[in-house]
Amino acid sequence: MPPSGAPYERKLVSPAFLTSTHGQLGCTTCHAGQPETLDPKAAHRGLIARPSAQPEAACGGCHGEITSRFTRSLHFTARGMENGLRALVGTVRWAQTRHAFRGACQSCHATCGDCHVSRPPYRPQPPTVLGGVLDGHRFVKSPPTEVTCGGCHSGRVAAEFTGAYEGFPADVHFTKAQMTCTSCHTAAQLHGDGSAPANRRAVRTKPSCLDCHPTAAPGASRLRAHNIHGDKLACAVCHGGPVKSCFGCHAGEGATSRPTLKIGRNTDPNIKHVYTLMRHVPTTPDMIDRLTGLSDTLVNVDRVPTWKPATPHTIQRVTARSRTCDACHNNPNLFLRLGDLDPRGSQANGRVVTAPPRPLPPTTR
Amino acid sequence: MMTGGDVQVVSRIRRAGLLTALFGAVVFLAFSLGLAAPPAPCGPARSGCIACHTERSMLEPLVQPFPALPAEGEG
Repeated sequence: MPPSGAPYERKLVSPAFLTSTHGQLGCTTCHAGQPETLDPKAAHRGLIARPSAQPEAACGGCHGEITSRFTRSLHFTARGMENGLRALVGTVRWAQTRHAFRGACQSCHATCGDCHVSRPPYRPQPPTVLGGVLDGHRFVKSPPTEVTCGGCHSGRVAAEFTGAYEGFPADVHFTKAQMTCTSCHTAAQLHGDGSAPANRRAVRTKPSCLDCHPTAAPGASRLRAHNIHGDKLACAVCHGGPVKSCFGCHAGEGATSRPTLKIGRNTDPNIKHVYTLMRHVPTTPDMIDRLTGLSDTLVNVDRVPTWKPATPHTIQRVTARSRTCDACHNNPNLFLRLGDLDPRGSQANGRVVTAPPRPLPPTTR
Repeated sequence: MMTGGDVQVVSRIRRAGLLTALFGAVVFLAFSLGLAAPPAPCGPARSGCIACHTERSMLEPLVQPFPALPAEGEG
């Protein structure tokens, strides 16, 4: 698919920006550089390409409250990734790994301008190269989520949500309700609430299905299955579609992916349910060796499960599991069992496998 | 024939004209030198940045083509 727009448009500033509040500040107020010359090389000497990488300095003067919250958010700090990697590397090796984290993983963090001014450099699904400014450098209060959110989260979530992957049904919230990312993930969540959560599951303002579907709460539902299972099963166990699982990653080489649909045991204290849909993440001991120069950098791989609770963006109102009890109770293949595990994988996966439920007698089906 | 009073009036008019001209010259110079422009170092109306970044003809030969997409399994 050809990229949208001509390459030069990535750098084209619209006249409308020049008369806007931000435009009146002048280019060098944020970007520095040498405005007195027309020689491109000389003009860009000392240029600050992403001024909001220092949000307090670039944006905090006028947007102090939101900037202060944002600098603690996961979007800006990438703290969730950092904590995940630290657990895999261990305290001793972290000092030798931190630079790799900062150079590679943390480069994914988002600044104010990355969403409100710029476009991500590319999105693989559909494969469209974007990058550059969003709208002639105008500051966009509500960015187009398919470009900004989708540009970074397209490897899995956005493509699942929109049905771009073959074999994945698009999410019912997308197909029936035309909802976008920000319909559930509010600005308060995306900008942070001022706290410093350890990872995305610990975010206090994260969405919950019950926010919009309170009548599905266990004990309050007219559906028997909700009342029986709602305390122990995550909604996605019955309403989630397949999720994209990845295997055998070596920081870019040899990774494969396929849709999986497995129910496993939750070990994350931030999730209140006992059982949830699981997704395999492609962690291997040597995954970031190329970046660290060490051998088997992730020494704690056997302490952290590589099957993790999934947050499917393939939700369906009706699935085979929501329709009949048999679909789960007489279908052991739906459950993550020891036989599903790769013996060369993380030994911690043993903690998330689960025995299938006992088959129901015919009278109760 | 002008009286002494008339001479004084004309003299005042000439002085006022000179002062006005002097003030105008100072203002003109201030604007010309940029002293009366907004304090921002790169005001939109006179920025070298904008000379290029608002003109397709200036940008087109300079901006690189889109980068190649990563292959499946990369990135």
